[in-house]
Amino acid sequence: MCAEIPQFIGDEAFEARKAEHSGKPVVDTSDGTVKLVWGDQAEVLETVDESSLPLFELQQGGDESFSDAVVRFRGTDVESYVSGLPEGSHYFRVRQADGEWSVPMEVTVTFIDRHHLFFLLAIGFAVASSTAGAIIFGYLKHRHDS
Amino acid sequence: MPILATSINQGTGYGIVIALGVLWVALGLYWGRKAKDSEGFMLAGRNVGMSLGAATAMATWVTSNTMMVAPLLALKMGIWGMLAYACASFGLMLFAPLAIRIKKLLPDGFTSGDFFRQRYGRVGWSLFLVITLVYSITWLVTMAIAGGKLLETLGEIPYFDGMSLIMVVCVLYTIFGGLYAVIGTDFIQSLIILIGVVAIGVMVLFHLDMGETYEHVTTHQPSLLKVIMPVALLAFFNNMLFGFGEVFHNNVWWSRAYAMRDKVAPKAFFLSGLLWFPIPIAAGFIALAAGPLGVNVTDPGKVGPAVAEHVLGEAGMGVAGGVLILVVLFCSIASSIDSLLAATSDLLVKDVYCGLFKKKLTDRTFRRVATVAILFVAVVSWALAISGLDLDVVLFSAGGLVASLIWPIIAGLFWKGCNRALVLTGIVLGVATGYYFYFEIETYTGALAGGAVSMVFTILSYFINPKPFPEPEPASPNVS
Repeated sequence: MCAEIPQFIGDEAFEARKAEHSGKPVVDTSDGTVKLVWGDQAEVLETVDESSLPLFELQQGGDESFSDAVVRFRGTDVESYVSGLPEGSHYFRVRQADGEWSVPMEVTVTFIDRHHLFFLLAIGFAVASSTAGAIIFGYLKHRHDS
Repeated sequence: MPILATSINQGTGYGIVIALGVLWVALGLYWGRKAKDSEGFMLAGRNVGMSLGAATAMATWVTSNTMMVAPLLALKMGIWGMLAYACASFGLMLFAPLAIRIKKLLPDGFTSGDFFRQRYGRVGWSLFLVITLVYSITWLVTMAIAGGKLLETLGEIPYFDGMSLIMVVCVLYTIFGGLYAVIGTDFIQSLIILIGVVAIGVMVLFHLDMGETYEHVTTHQPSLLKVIMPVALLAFFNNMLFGFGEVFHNNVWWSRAYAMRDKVAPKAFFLSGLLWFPIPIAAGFIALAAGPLGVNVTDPGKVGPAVAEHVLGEAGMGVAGGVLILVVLFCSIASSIDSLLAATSDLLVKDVYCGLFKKKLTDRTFRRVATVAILFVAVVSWALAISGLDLDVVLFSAGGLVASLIWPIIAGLFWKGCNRALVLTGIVLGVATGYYFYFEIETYTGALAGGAVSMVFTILSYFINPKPFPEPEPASPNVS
């Protein structure tokens, strides 16, 4: 089901970008989430005997040396959805049991530009408050209409 | 596949769904006997009281999206994500004063289309019908997808089978009972949802170490607790406007306003908004517990039931826990699918068949046409749901559509007149801007941008060459 050394996989765009970076998976995200995939989850779900599935370990590090690595997942799944990542670069790697680590994946989180954000938030506040205000004003104006 | 203590085998899953399905269909048949004419079938005789009114509004708004997307937003955006979903309740609360005005202006109205036809003429009416039908089908598709995913996750029922089964059950009792059946079943379903959500929420609280949870999220998912989480802050306003647009325009809510007694409607909508507010927060909190509980999320769209199943298993509830989650979520999905089937088919019959195509119906022929319309809406939604797309992608892409209708509705209800052409231009540009922002700028900006553009054009229409609205006319001349 999975190679001896698991590797991160993805859709066509993911694989094309990986090829551009000499086989190193690179992902950009604007909301601090990423889905890490290193096998076919459907096969895992279809397997009745869980003990026959290989065990994986997924680690996250602040740099490519993984000197500060933390374990994000240990189990038989071959996908993991990670959320809540702060802005900056994050690195992930996976291995089967005590085998060799995969090529690390670099996930770069860049939230929307702050100027754009505050501009959009100001519009949102203006529209929402104007809407509520217009309804309340309209109700008060017409409440005694027959 | 990992076997949890709460795991239900396929036979039990089918058994629960079929048992609930038979119950709803039987109740639909029983209540359907009251629907002797088109007004009875579509508006439950315009005599719905407070408890049924509040329950049906709340149950309809507790959709599969509440139970599946609210946890998804919490998982992606943390605290702001939960609040973002919960603020959709403001739409229900603000619909209370609108309902008073709706019943004054259109005491004999049948659909939200009646209002648009009278206020914005045939062009505006047609534009509204396109928008609302596209949106209603989109909403139905998300619920069918959620139903299929739910039964796949909890009951081991293949996605296609589960999704089809839910649609068949809802279609049957809606055809048999019309709005009588929808409101009646909504009442029972809302009680089950409230009791179930409270029970699951209490168990999650008892089995979570809050200190550890906070520490885990702070360490591994710090953005979920940040005050300035950009995408979540955008989602807050976007969802609020999405909720406004959805409730203000959709015939699901207008048909309920027409169906309730005059003094009941505003109170029922306000109360249902208050009752609904904590539900997405509770559902979202469950998702925040995924990491601390060691639940590996593979499909974020299923995080809510997956974590709930894990917690109830840990609580020693065994299979009963799985049954409880399945029943609660099945009720939340059915209570919304039935409402949308009924309200959307009403639009097809009254506004498209009788209105645009100028066909006349008697009460006898009405039931036949209504049945065909319900089947048509269901089959289109079912076909689109087969692909099992991502729930939030499907749902939030429609934000600009509904938000563009907020201000034209406010203007039509409270103003004496406006420049119709400017309002309709604002709707079209609002929809276009909403889709552009959704696909090109940021996912959670579609409703925000669409609502803003439409608001500016509508306000301009008040000052630039306004014309008075025509006097209200009989709402449904083609049904005798």
